[in-house]
Amino acid sequence: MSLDAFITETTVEGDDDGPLAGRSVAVKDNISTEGVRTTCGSAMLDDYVPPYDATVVERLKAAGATVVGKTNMDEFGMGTTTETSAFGPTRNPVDRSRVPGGSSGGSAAAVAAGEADLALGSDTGGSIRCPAAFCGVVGIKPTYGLVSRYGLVAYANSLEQIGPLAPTVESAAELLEVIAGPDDRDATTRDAGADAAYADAADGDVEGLTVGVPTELIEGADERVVRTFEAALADLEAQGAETHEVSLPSVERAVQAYYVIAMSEASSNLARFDGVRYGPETEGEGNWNEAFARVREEGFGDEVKRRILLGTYALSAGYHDKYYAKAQDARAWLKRDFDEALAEADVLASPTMPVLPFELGESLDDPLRMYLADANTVPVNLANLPAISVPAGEADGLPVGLQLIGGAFDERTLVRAASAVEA
Amino acid sequence: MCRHRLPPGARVVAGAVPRRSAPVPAVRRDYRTETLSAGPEVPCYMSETPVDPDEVRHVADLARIDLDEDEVDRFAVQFADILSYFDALDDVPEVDAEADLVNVMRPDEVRDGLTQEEALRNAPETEDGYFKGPSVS
Repeated sequence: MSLDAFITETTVEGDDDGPLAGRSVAVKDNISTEGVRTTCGSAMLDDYVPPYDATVVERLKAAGATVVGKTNMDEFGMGTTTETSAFGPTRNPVDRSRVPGGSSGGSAAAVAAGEADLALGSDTGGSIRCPAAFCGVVGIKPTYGLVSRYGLVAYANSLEQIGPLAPTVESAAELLEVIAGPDDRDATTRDAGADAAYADAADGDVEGLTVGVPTELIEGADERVVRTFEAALADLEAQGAETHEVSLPSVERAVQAYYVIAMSEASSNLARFDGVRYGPETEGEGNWNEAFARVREEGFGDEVKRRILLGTYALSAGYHDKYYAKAQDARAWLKRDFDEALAEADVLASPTMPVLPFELGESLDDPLRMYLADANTVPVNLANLPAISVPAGEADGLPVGLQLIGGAFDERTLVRAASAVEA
Repeated sequence: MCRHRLPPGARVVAGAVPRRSAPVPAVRRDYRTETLSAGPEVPCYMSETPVDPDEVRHVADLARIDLDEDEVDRFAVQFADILSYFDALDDVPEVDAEADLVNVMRPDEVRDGLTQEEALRNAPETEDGYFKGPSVS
């Protein structure tokens, strides 16, 4: 039985040599690939074929990688299970009755099942780290501005980054080296990533490394997850790392702030899907607004509609200050809390996901329940920081991920610490 | 769905039993009284945010998305739940954030872009090299 990790399988050969020569890479289906259908997991883009490559895809090809397909995802990245895809769910290769996590579920499943050596995902609120944790692979959410978003179909552009998924920390770091660095077509990229080396930091040396453990990210997590996390932490200590508890009071408001900001940005970003430049054809009755509303009724799934409507609501007259402005305050508060915690620690550690992988269909009818599963990942996006999810072990036969959060552009320290976790 | 309306400080995680009376961490109280503008002592987290179907229809109209009646009813229930969860933002303190923003400028220069044919290739309807849309009024 297929995992349905891919929406479109293809073979796009890269250059003859380069650091990724001979390696196959799966690319999430919201990253533009010239001449290869790019659906974002949505009926709206069922037959959309981009006329250009995303910067990260150009860099993959120049590095010698072979693109083997476009991976399944929650529609426009909006979900935590890959079940909101218009193309049906992907299964978790570890346990096929369970979800692979999301939204980059196809990318994580492809890597975990060996259907690709490496994969690209995108992470707006945990969409690389969650499926990495659920499928037992490594995923990196880079610092905001490290990797170009040119050619990434926008969902919430102030939060999202493209990043690698891979079987090991070192191979994830190799892929990050290839895609990182400034791009004059994305003005939010920084010079920090130019010529950066990450893979050689995967040396497992954590002697003297200080690890802060935010108590708020442990409370309320599934006990089996906490036990596995604590065992991995003890193992780090045995290797010479020092751990201490920290408190980040602001994370108690992170899920609310994340959803208000992400939904608000989505309501604006997804206004482009009007059925004129791309999208399904509809019957020609009615005026512009009526035709527009009909195309969007047909082309978008429930979760996308929910987020666009709630984002529209949060930005509408009379509610902007109550929701959007307060969410921006929460974002600033989070940044300050993280700055303070990272002044006393090299990295922060938590379970990536507070729960074990859901059963297929378990959370679809209760959107708020799905949102709450993102409690440990969304704070990182709001603070623009890098984080990595690395397998910490198993509970009841299911993978548990350990998340490490670092200072801005300090991916090397994350790679070093994570390589000690997997050792 | 009262499990979603918890006091600030409490946090529900999917799959976990809600903590009914998790205390507000002491550190956070210090935060509020020492450095931040004081909010109401007991934030109004119980405030219901009822969403009636007309409001859903109004927002859907603003967002230009047609909804059928089933969707309107379902969204009204879900939105009430989600918006009351968002009410917890009421007690977030104001934080002075230094703007970490710099304008990124470059000279305008002519570069190759998409050809007209490439730009039109995904359009459901075109005419004489233009996108074709419905009438505006």
